[in-house]
Amino acid sequence: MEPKKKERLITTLISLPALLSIFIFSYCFTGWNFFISLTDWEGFVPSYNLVGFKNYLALFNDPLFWISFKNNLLLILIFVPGVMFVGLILAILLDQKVRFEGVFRTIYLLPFAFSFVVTATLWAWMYSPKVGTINVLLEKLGLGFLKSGWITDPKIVMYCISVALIWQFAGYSGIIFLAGIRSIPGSQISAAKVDGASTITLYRRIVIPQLKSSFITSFIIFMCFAIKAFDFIWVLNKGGPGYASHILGVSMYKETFGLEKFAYGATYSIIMLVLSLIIVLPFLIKVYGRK
Amino acid sequence: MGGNKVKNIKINRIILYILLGFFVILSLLPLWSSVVTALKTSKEVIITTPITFPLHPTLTPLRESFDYLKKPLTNSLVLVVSGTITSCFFASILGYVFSKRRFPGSTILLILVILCLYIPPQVQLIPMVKAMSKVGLYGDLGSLVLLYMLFGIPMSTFIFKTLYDEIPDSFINAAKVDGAGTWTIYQRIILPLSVIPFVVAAILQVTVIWNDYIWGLVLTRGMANMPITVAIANLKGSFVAEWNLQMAGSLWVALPTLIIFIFLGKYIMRGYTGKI
Amino acid sequence: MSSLTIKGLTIRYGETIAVENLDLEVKDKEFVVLVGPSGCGKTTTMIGIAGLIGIDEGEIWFGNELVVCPRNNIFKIPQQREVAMVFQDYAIYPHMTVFGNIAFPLEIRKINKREIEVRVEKAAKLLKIENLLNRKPNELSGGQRQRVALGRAIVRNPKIFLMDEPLANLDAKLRVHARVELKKLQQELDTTTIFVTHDQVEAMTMGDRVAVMNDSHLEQIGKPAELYNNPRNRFVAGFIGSPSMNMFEGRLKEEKGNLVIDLRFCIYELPKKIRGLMKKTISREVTLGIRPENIAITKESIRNCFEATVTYIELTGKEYNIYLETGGVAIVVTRSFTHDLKVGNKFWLSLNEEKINIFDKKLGKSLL
Repeated sequence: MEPKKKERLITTLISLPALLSIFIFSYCFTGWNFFISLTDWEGFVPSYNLVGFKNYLALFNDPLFWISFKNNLLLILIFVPGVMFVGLILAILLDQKVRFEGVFRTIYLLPFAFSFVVTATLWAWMYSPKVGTINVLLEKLGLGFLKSGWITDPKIVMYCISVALIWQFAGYSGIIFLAGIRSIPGSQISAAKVDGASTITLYRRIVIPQLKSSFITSFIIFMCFAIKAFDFIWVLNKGGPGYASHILGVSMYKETFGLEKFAYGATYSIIMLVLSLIIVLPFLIKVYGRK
Repeated sequence: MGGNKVKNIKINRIILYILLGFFVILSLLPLWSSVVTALKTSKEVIITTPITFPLHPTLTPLRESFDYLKKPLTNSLVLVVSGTITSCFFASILGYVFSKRRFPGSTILLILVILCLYIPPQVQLIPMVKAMSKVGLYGDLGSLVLLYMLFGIPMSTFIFKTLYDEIPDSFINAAKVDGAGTWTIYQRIILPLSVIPFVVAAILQVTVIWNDYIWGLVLTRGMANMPITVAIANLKGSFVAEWNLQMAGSLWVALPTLIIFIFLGKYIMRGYTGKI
Repeated sequence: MSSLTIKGLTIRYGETIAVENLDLEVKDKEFVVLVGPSGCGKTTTMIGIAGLIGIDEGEIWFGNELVVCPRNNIFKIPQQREVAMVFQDYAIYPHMTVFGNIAFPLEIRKINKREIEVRVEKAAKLLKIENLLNRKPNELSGGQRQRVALGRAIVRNPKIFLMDEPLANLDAKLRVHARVELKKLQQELDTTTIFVTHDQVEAMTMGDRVAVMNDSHLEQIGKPAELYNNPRNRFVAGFIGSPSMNMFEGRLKEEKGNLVIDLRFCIYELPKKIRGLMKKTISREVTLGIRPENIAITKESIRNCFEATVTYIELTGKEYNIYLETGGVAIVVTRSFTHDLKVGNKFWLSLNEEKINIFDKKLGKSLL
């Protein structure tokens, strides 16, 4: 066999196991899931009767779906800008030639180390109305009037969840922006200073405008996270009180593994997939489409 | 005149450190509160503030929760080791191919691999359950072992590809001119330079697998099979008012990744900021 | 417009001394070049003048204004110093148009829009880039970007221009052209300028005065001709001029009432004029320096000459560099014709007495 063909064969062979598993477990399963969403499978015994888009119609008429969608939207609107804003602030602070910068960076990144299960346990404690950290501290500081039911209050539970998640991801957001800031050549910063720019002007007009790729990267990461979030809310309060903190991922799990409506659950997950793709695909095509 | 400017600079520095300190407090408050509570007796939990150190610290919650979590902990260890080694091995090869052996269609394939990272796991839950039932692994730890071996590949592949991109093409070209084939190049040039990529990919895999919850929840049944994250969630559910026990338990779960982030944090950062 | 006075400037980076006890006077409207090998402290001095780093000791004055003095706790931040700086990589902002880049320093000073337009256009016209005002930096060539950086500097009418190797990234042909344009621009604007480079040709052709730095010290400052013909020490003599000055080691001796240098390959008799100029020196070990163009090659032996063999001939286009060897010592001679010179031939070399330099071997100082 001629060498060029042989090399191609070897390349194909060694990549095959990994590529095959990715193909099967990500794409085939997705396709299979879509197929399931077109059936009427309920209960443990699978059923393969195709019912077209009946499940999707049912979904769009299901008030629980819309409650979940609305809660998801709320999460996105608070969490995504919130975490990006805090991350940007942290990055700017850390860019100021801070002593022990590494120590600060590590501390800010620590919440990112925790499993969502741990975060949920910690914040359940923080938010606990009777003995939780927040309410007790508010009382001690004379701010008792600010006490609240927090996650037991259906009106503000999604806000509480968003804050906890911002806490978890702020450090990570910070290092994304810090990497972006640090990639700007130092001579531009020097030039701006010599030109007369104050620190605020420097960041506003020179640094931040050049952080476009950091903004896009973090936007995509955090949007996709908000769409598929499940672990944290489920462990925190299983989507309660009532349905107040049900988001798409929570409802999907409940329908599938709680009520055994597998086809219906599959429908939920396809919707979540479509939402994620809407966010990611334009970006991927733009970045890699050129090559 | 000039002296004022020096003073202004000093004030700005003070404000800077105050702000930095403020965020340190915000970052560590929940953790501190948790540590402090984990060391308290049930009585103290109620009578003291959640941020003060206990007057009579006790290790009982930590011991009890550890006993409860013993089997799940070993389960998670098994998952982490098997998942990391396998996925890193395959990902390294695939990352090498994407980085150094471009072929028509490799860009599209790369996009498909990266896309996997953004597919919500919910889309794979039901098929996975079905598949595991078919091979008789449903409910067993083995299902998770198999899962993590495979699901870690896309992320690790991307890390390896990004880090292998930093190896100059001239190394590869020189080897080709010397007569080395695809596999030889991988063995003799890429692998020896792979220490950092392996460390980065492995650390990332370890934290992701250790911290994962949803798959353990869906695919395993029974304390004997579940990973530590599922066990801790159950702990939270069954011992609702025993905060010290819950805190202690979550500290055990948090400890390994915390240590990794503190001592190997720079590798984590390398892994995440090289990524889209 | 302002003069610049530096007294006793010392800058340290941790344990290393980057600049030590530097004194420098630059007159108003003067173009002074700071030149020296990598690491000599020239760029450090420049960013110290700009205020981008602090200094450890000394004073810097712009005219009558004390700009930085650690002893009295005085430090003006760069924004207040009214200097303009051009960086080696130009440092123009990629997300702004050419117009935006040049207008930026004026916008910061809250100058009104109409006036900004006028001034930017004026600067752009002066640099012949007025047709590029709407472009973004990534659409420009290296030479064009360099002129944008210059535009941003001149639009402010600063007290002092600081330029850190602004021509280093241009290709060779463009660099020669840019040198001339830059000097003309400075003369037209009449602004005090400090120009840093490692290229001694640039230094010699552009500077009203040239300051040679080496290893954190100022070796010599003076007009280019002064540095070329009367270098104060061996370093300056060897740094300025290409090919470098020939250096021959030898011993001073008295012989028959004349002062001679024993160069081992010959006994060189010092002309009476030189003897008169020479300072008193205890040491006898000296170095005799003579530039390649000041050595004559003859076929016959004349007074005070020595023999050498041609080892290599190099044509640079307009002249020849002829490499010779005698008694293990290498010599370079530059002339514009070769005639019958061939590798391997032996010839007699004589030195132009007017152009001899003598340095103390140990201290390096010129003894003339």
